[in-house]
Amino acid sequence: MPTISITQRAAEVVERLRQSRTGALTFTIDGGCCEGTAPHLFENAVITSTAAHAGEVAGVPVYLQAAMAPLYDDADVTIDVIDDPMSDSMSLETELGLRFVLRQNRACSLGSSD
Amino acid sequence: MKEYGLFINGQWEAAKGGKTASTINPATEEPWATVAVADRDDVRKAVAAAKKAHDTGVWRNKSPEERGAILQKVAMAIFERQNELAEVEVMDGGGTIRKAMAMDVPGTAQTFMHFGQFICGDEYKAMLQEDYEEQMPVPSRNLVVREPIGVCAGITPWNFPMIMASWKIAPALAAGNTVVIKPASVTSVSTLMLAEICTQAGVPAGVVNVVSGPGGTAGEELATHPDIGKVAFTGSTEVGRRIMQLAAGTLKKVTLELGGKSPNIILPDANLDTAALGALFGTFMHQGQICESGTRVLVHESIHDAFLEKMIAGTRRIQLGNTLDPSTSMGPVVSAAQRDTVEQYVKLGHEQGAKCVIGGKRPAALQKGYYFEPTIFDGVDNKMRIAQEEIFGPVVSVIRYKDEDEAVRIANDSVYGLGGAVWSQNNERALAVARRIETGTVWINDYHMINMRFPFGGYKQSGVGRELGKWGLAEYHEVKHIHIGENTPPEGKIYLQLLLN
Repeated sequence: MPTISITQRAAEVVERLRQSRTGALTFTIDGGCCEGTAPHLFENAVITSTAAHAGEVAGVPVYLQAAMAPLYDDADVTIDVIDDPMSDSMSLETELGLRFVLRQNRACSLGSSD
Repeated sequence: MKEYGLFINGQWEAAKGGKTASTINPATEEPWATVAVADRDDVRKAVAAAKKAHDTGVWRNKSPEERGAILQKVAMAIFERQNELAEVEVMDGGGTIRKAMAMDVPGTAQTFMHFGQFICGDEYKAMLQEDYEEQMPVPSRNLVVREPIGVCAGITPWNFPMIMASWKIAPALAAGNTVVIKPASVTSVSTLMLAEICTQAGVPAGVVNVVSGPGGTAGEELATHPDIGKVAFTGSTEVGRRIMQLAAGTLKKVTLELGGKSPNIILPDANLDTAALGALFGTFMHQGQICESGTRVLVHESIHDAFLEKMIAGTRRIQLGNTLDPSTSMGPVVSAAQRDTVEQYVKLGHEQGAKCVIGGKRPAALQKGYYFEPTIFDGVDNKMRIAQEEIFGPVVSVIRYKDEDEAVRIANDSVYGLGGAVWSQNNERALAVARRIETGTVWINDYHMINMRFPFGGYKQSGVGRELGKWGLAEYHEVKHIHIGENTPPEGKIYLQLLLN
């Protein structure tokens, strides 16, 4: 299991969004293209059956998409937030001019999932 | 400081809430323009304009030849304003003026020209109406016709703003649709200019609308709005997945062009000089910020050392610097956040045991701008994070293989399936390998050679559907079957016996 933490500021942003949304919130971590690997906070997200539940931060479950899970097996990451009024992610915090980012504290040790 | 609004119903408008944001030149870190930031109400207004333009038939009722002539005029107008468009693209996105003049401007114009010409030709006529005769169960003539979908949304990324916008706008308009485009907010100016150019070239008001705004509001509105029939998106896999989920609410059609971690296989009989430089082009072009970049270079062990040496030597010929200077061949990455990401991956590469043989840091000579040196990691295991996650920066992983089976296995050991290449002096051998690679595009002895006439898109989690060519154009149509029965007395309709005694 990876170690996933969240900064205080990012947790406060999650709390603000929880107040403004009625649906369940979920973090998913996945990658690709211009955003690279990033945390996304969605309301009423459909979680794929193969996604791995990787922990919980600020009262929100965090899922890793299936292909990511072995890469993060014993990694240590922190969800942080940056000011980004122009973010195009569909993640909820973008409506506040913010963007969650993933800080990599430690890489996963290679082959640990084998 | 230049100011840009939203482009709705043929004119410039301020965002309803009055919000604007600065767009930064990545080479100088200085703001150079402000753009309006749309909220949900602005998006709804743009969708309403596009819906009205579709419903009145002002565009879809034109003949393909009339629409085609206007799209060709758009292409010519893009060439006429090429210097201005190229500079905007450089200042918004951080690419070089060399790339903007050689790729962005002609690539955009050619997309409009290609679709404009294609819909004037016989092949499109044949696509628009197919005619069949049937005898069973009753004699009938059967027409299969293609019609426009209606309002199509396009959501585009920041790496090739103008070309990506043209990939959405040109085929949508060719097919008779109207569009609402949401460009990446940090690079929206050229798309806004493109909308103005379309209008000036004769595209009626309301047919092309452009709104930039946050994904969480403006993007979500486009993906859920009931009057939008299709969403075409280029961007990250996770956002593509979210768009598909949101589009499910109103069962929109979607085309998604998403992430990649494309393999570039160097067979032992390749021309090593060409392949090494081709591998650099495949990775470092536009600072590696291209979805189909060949970021995993798979090199046969027998040629590994010589090949790596040639790659390193070639990398030394890449010149970072002022993006508006034609002698500069590599610019900065798009933002400070993007550079942070690249640096984190370089650190991960070191931690997981890969060997950085060149680059790996910010250039000392460039204190301003989000520059990062072109970076090669050797000794990469395909399980490493730098080999599996898309970095979207100038970082390439060199992976050794022993035989073709292993090369193919490594190539396909990725959740993505967008692009890739095979280099060999034996075309048959290369083709046999190419057929085994699970990606939407494979080049042999070339890289990044995207052609408007041929389809582009991804296998696996790199996408849904195809863009470009007649395959991409088909995705902007509804298909209708019209059955024309014979005009006979009731006895001629044998199926009536199923119900009536």
